[in-house]
Amino acid sequence: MFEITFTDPGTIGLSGRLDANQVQKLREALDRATGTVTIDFTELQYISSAGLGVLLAAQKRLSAGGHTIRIVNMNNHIRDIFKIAGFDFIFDIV
Amino acid sequence: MKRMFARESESLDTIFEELDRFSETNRLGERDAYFTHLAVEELFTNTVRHAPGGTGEVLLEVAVSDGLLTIRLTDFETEPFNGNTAVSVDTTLPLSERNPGGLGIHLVRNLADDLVYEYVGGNLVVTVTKHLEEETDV
Repeated sequence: MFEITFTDPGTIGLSGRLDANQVQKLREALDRATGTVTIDFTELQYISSAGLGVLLAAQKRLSAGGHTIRIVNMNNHIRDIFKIAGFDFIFDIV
Repeated sequence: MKRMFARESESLDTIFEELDRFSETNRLGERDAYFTHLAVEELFTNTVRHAPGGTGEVLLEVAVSDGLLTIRLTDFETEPFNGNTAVSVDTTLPLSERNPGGLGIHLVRNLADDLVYEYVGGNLVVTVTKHLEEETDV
């Protein structure tokens, strides 16, 4: 189960398991973003390279316009994945 | 756990259900359970997307013995592929030069103790091993 919730403007929340079969939902949500986006990982339990790829593509597009993706409330397991991928240098992780 | 799965991305949901049961039965800690799901997803999706040929099914074997987790994926009658010599991902590149290619195997290789590709009798066999990190709650 993977779900996206839209709360405040410019903020989305992810919950559940973001695997290769679920990334299209996130891709569509991020494709609509035109400014800096905050993504709340509080309820996200799992991410694989498929999810990282979608985040990377969105970060590239947004940064070209002077914006960024800010990620908050990442659990330790996912934080390890981001570090190994070198994504801790690419995203604003709070 | 030893089971054949259809060689298609839709199998991933069923695979994860099996892995959830495997993790619970073997009382894997959170970190080890995460690794098991990640390694299987990355190997399976690579097989479905990139390996040419092959039959309609892939054999997945996952086992724990004496604190050692072993994951083995066998793709039958497929083309040779030597993942042992795959170029590593440069994680120090700036955003503009990064791309997601190879990231899945990079993650597995960095988290596992060993990752070995073998081509045996026309079958591609990928084996991942990792010593469990966490004590079970027995």
